[in-house]
Amino acid sequence: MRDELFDTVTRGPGARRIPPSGVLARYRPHVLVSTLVVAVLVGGALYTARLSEGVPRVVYTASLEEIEDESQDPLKVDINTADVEELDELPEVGPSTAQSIVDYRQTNGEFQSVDELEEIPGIGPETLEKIDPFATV
Amino acid sequence: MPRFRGPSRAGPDLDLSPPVRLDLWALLLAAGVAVSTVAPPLAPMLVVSCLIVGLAALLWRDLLPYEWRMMAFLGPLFAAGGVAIALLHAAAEDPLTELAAMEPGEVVLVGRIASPPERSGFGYMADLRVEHLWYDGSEVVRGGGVEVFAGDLSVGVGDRVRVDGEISLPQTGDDGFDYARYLSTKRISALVEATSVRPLGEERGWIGQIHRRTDVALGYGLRPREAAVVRGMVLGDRSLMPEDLEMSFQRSGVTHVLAISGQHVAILAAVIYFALRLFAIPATIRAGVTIGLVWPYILIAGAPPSAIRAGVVATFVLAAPLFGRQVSPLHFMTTMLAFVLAYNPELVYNTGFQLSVAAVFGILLLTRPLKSLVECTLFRPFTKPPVQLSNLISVSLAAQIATSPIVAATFDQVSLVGVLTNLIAVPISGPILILGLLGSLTGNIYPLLAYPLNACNGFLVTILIRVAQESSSLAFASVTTPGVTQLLVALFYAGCTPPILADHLFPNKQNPLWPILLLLWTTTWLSISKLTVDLHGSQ
Repeated sequence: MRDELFDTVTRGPGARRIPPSGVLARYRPHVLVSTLVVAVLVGGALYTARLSEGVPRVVYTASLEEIEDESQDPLKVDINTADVEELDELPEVGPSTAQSIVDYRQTNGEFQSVDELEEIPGIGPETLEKIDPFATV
Repeated sequence: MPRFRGPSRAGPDLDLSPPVRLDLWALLLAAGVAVSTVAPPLAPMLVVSCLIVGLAALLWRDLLPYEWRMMAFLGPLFAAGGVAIALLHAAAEDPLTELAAMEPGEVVLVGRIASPPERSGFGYMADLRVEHLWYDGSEVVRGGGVEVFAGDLSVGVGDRVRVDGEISLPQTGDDGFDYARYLSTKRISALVEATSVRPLGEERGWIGQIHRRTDVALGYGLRPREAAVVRGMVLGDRSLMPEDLEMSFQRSGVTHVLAISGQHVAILAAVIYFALRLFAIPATIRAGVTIGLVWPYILIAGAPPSAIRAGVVATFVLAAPLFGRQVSPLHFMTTMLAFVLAYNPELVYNTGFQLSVAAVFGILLLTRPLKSLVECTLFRPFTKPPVQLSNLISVSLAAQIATSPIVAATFDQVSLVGVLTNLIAVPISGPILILGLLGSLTGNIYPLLAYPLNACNGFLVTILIRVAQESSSLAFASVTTPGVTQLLVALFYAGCTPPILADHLFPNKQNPLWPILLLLWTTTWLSISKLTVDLHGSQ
């Protein structure tokens, strides 16, 4: 009885062992075509995500942080003194979250650090990371 | 893949004998992309599962039929490839989002309009592919996409414009709608509230020109309401549709005829292909010309994800015989998924794409069992059931069942009359589309020629509108389902799997138990959804 697919053992008279290299050689076209298909699709994804003309890229020599510094109207918001409208300007902070920040401040006193914002419902680590450059205590 | 044994087989021999089945390659790759995008922590589990199956198949020879063992062996490669594709996209930097997050104020952009202007809360909105973005007198970013909001947007697709306005990040709505995620499916990173949008010189886009000329051409002999419907069906642009009419289409379950979908692409491809066959043009040229005309149409229609999906599948179907390959709809669908998701993994969040994929998978997997059910029940008195009608009912029912959870979760209502209204809407949407295209073409050449075509179309459109309006006015036309969660959607598809599998493993045409179970499950699911919503509402 012989298994015809990448089997390494045959049975009965004349039994012999096919080495793994032989298995690979027999099914080389399958492996080659499959690897090629995956490589082409991964390459296409690489081009689409990073190299194509339509992908957004920075062209100004100054960093975006420098641009922010150059801005006449600095965006740092003091989370201990700002009102709902000012807090609303923070990235990913809407009116309801801004109100929650004010409520938290009234209940628990002033924030000791910007990281304390993570206590507010709706502000997770990712949002905090975005808020951090624009908030101060 | 099964070998094509037709007598006129031509082209290179792509078969890899001895018989080996690699049919699941695209499904595994697409699963790798989708899982890594939606639930990244599950991605390693998917690859490890594939590795376990591969190793088990290697060590335990009777685990799988021998022709599938190579698939098990190569499975981890495809799954890992899908994960790598998703990671490549996820790790790509987006300076446009970073800039918008800073809310720097006024910016100046130059780019091309990428979608027809649509009405928004305060004016109009359109997608813009950014070429240059200036901030404070310096060019800061090139590339990317933004959504432009303006009081007036007298521009068309492809027009090169200068936009002045404030850039910001899209916010999640009060109803929980993640606008940023929706925009990311269109590769759009930020919003621009424009104070001015000015076309640059005379550089107007050819797609926009076609849209404008189509509007004029459809005006010859069609009333504005009818022209708006034909415009939606021909160009996929529903911006001129009256709101009440759009609601009627939605409640009656025929909105899909207004979106450029697989149905449109299939009708167009079939008409071109068979028209060329009338002139005895060789098959190779016929297929090439059809593919060559279908893709520009998809571009003109704004290249929505559902049309791209249909275009890829149509290309496979037309190209398959040229390479001596069998037309395998299920395999083509999974291959299309792999290609399209490799291009943009965020499409898994796009409702149009989800509906399109669910409808086609539903039609492919459910039509046969539902047809046997229809023939055993509705057409039982007939000695010879009407084939066309039973096909139409089964296809309509299959698409409705497959898309109902997505429709429920997205639009908060599911049409109950859709199965019946589609029996009229689907057959007449083909002639409406073709007459609309011909009317647009002739109207641009010689307006007098467009009148008879548009007049005939007006009659068909009136029927379509009446069907939508009359059926939507019924009290039981739709069931409201606000608050259907992703978990409930997943539960529906999980519940559908056993009867579908059972029907394929143990088919029984005389006693269609499995499709009955499927229909029962769909009804139960709708009841559960309604009950959950009612309980939620009463709390």
